[in-house]
Amino acid sequence: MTNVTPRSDIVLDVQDAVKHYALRRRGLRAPRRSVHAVDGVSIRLHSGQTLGIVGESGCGKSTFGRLITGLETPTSGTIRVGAHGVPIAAAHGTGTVQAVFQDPASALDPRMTVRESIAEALGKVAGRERERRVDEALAAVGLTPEFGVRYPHELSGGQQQRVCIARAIVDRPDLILLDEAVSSLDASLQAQILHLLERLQQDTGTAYVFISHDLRAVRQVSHSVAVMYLGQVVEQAPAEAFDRGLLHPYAVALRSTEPRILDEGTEHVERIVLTGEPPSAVSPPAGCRFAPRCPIAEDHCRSVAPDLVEATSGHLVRCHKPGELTLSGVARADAEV
Amino acid sequence: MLLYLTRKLAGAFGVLFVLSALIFFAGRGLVPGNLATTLAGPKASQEAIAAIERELGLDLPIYQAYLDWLAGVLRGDLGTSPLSGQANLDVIAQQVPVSLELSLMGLFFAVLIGIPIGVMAANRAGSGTDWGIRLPLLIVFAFPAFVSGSAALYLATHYLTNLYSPSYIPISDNLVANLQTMLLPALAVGIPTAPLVSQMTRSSMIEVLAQPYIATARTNGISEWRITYQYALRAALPPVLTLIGFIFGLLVGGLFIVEQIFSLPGLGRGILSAISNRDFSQVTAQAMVIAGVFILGNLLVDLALPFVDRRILRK
Amino acid sequence: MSTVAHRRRPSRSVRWPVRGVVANIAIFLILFYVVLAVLGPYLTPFAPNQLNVGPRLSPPSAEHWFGTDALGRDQLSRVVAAAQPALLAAVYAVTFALAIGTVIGIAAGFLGGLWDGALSRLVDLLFAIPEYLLAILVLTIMGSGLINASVAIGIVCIPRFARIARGSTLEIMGRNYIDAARLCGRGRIWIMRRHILPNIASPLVIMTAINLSTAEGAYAALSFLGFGVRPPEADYGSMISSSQQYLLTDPWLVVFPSIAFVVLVLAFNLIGDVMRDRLDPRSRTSAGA
Repeated sequence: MTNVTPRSDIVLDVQDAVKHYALRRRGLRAPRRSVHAVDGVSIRLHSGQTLGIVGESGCGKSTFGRLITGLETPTSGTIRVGAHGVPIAAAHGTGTVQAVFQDPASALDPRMTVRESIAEALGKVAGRERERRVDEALAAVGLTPEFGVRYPHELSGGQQQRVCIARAIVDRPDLILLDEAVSSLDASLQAQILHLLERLQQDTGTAYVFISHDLRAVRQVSHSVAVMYLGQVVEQAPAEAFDRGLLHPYAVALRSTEPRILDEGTEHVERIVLTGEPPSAVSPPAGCRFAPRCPIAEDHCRSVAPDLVEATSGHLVRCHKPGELTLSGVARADAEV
Repeated sequence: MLLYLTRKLAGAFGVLFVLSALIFFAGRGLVPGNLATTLAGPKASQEAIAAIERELGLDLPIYQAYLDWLAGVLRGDLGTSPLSGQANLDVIAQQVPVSLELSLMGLFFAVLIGIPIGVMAANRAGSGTDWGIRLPLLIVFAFPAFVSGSAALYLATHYLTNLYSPSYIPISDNLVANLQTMLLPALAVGIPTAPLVSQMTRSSMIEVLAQPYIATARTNGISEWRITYQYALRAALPPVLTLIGFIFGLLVGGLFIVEQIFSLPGLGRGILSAISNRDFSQVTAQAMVIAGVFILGNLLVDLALPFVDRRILRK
Repeated sequence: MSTVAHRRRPSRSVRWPVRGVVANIAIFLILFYVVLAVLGPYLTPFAPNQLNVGPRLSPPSAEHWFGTDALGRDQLSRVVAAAQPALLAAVYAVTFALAIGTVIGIAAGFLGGLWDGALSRLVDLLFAIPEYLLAILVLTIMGSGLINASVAIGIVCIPRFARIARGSTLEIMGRNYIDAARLCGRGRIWIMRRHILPNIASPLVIMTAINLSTAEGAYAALSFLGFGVRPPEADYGSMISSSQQYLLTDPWLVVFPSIAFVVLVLAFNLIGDVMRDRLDPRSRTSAGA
């Protein structure tokens, strides 16, 4: 999406964000080391759009989420949010960015009523206006006003998540981070909540960053999708490209493991099972970070780290051999290795 | 392991250092007026008082006095009491064996009584027997050392005259006679502490017994006795062991009181009489020794922990 | 979208955490002592400090139920009068420790980083000093007396409150609702007051109950050693210690104050023990007893 001429409706502009966490020393003479949770991510997002971020647990997608909400400060790089492009450090806590987290039970204070929790986002609004806005938000997420006086433990998981969404939208933010927001819900509730989120976006034009390990959910709601691996974006493409052709071997593998319903597609898809664990984010490999697990890696891949380059318009990939591993061509690739 | 050791050692020295300052200033706080004036007597001349002040280092600014004293402590010189003229180290050397024996024996009894009771209570957690065990323990725990000590002394002098002899005899002179004096005080220190040990053992055991591997061991037909004592107790011990460091602190409290009741010539009684004599030099020396031994004891527990539970090193 | 079945009472306030026979007995006993402490002066047959109200060292009799001491004071009146300093000392000490320990603990857990490091070191340091040595050192600096002894015990108890406050705060800090409140633009004061304090209140209440018994025992021990209220005021510890010399000839002088004191500590211990089960969910299997 970077080829689109920058417009004023950009609500998230991340330039080369890096986040390292220092580790405790293991021994007296051991060197100080750090976890490279996010390692040079650049992303732009327009209002009314949804950016999906997928990857295995530990790939840095949640840390990235905490960076763009200002809950963590990046080690380096710049993050600007909102229509005026305010640096996140200044925008943090102004209600420009809101978030919905994975576990709704932990995202609601057990000692606050639903109304109190939602009203927490309305610091600058008082009195009757505040009550009206809370009622509006409750209605928008499909809860009746009588839920307002309840405590979180009196609600079901889906209702709790609706309250979290109500709190996120009530102050009309420019951007909402959805960090695994539907992952803890069962399938039918997931569909309901995803539908609710889509409807809210159409009504308000809020941009979403939708983080999930579940490629299907991400695809369903996103306009563009970024695949993360070990702190880096390895492929970023418009959502449609995910159906037509993915270029990075990791993204292809991720896609192939997606559970499918029989009549969804006619083509036969081999599952590409990746061997081994992702390498440690403490000492990333020298060359391509995916090379140790890549079915088509060559010596070149192991020594030289590829850059994120534009393969086709709006489709970015970080690979020396983009597109060589395809869903139908797995058998051929395997034979070559 | 080396890093763990270094951390613990550094911590212990840090505590000791800060404690030394506290002790020193507490000792100085003991002297209400001018110590030199008191020592010199009411009719002393100005020169005599000044001479005493110089000798005791009272004319120095207090931080200077503290540093001098600390340097002395580091060299192993705990000073000389200006009141009695005795070297503090000599006095303390007489008192330490008494207190050390008393607290080690007390600890022994506390563990000997506490752990089996804790295991028993854990095995029957929630049942009537659990409370049947805990309630008497709580009652025992409510008897502070000065009440149980008084009771023990009364019993000893009235009924157990063969078992108890009131005058302290060093362990090197006569082991049996020594034990005759120390057994009851040690019980008076140990028994009120036992409930703490059993409480910790109980909750730690309950946690371990709920682990899946215990259930696995049961289904494998390993005897209940072996499960309890060989599998579960071993896993439940580390928190209890940490507690023993803490108990050492309680035992120090027991020392103050039990030595007082049984008139034992130990450190606890010594420090109290030094306080009432306002002998600041001796108080600081004794407090330093108590603190040092206590911290050393805790350090030993810390160093023993990794042998019981290897996971500690990785934290 | 049906409501979940288990509708409990809203948990805004800290629920009364002790139930069961044992706890009821303990609460009854403590209330009894509170009544003695408040109404003591109107209940006692004699003024507790008045000398020679009867013969010296007389054994229990119809006139002097608990006998008289070496100065001819009525022992029953003194035992009743001693309830007041005993309760006050425990309450003062625990209140002091609760206030300071909670502030330290929340600050350490909430501010994190260097603050946490420094405050935790301070707490570890206090914790590493033998309790009685610390209390006695503090008292040699400040001098004896009810308030000073309470402060000394309070200082000894600070680390326990600070540790539990810090641990609970850290646990709460890990919850997403703290992140959400920060995103809502809520400041530190709001988050501490509205989110952290209400959510760490129950472990602190439990800690308070547990420490009341410790403080009670510690105060009596300090009073036994002569650091408590100044004579001639009645106090369990000092009554027992001054009667030591009569232990073999007139044991009732030790027996009655000992019983009065032991029952009081036992009541505190029982409540503390029931509370401990609540604090430590692992051993909660018998909490209902």
